[in-house]
Amino acid sequence: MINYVIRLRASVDEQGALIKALLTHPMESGFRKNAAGEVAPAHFITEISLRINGEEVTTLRTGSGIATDPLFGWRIAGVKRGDTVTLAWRDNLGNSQAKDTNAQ
Amino acid sequence: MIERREFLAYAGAALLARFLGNPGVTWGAERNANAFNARNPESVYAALGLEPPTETGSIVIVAPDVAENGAQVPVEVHVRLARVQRILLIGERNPYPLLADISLGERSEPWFEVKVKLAESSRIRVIAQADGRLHSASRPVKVIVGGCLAG
Repeated sequence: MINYVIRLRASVDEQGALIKALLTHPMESGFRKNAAGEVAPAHFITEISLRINGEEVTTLRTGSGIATDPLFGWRIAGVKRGDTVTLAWRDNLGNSQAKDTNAQ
Repeated sequence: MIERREFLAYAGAALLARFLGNPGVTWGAERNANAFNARNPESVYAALGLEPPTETGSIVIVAPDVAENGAQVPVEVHVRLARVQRILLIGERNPYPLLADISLGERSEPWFEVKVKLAESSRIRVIAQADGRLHSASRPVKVIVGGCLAG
């Protein structure tokens, strides 16, 4: 069973906030073979949603070509310290995760 | 070894999470599966209903000239245009070239950063839609060890 982790940080500056997310996910393309020579089935994040105080500001739809344990960064205007930043993802196998953090 | 009771607790929690999903998250516009399953850039453009792009100078792509490890290639995209609604990221020689399709709300700056996989040396292409018009740029990245077949 995969222990999915979302590390999320939002740093407020003059222009808004720099938001960085580091996710735990295999992002398996479906091409790779394991040590036993079996093809590992495709397993990758398909959608990521970023919200500030509940308002969706960015949606990212992804393919299997995003790196394993992916890193993402966005810049969002008008974010203040203490605002709630929420990241949610779902993958091609129906798993989903979400995490909140406060902008600082 | 997992006790039966512990296993049942895990299984129950997993099942519950599956049904409940994440409360409060609704998913917006549909992901274009045909575009993500397309096997070459031309098919990606066709699936998205876009004309093959011509290059303009308003997009900056920051990526290494030489990536030792194709499995972790850092890419940063700056679009120097107003009212950017959408950005597409394409690895032209990947088995599935469309890497990401980003919808930007009004508060999103036209900038993002991501780590991608590149199967082989290839151009990375960015297409940005600003004020309804398409803009494009690309830059080559030489890959030493490909990122699709290897770990």
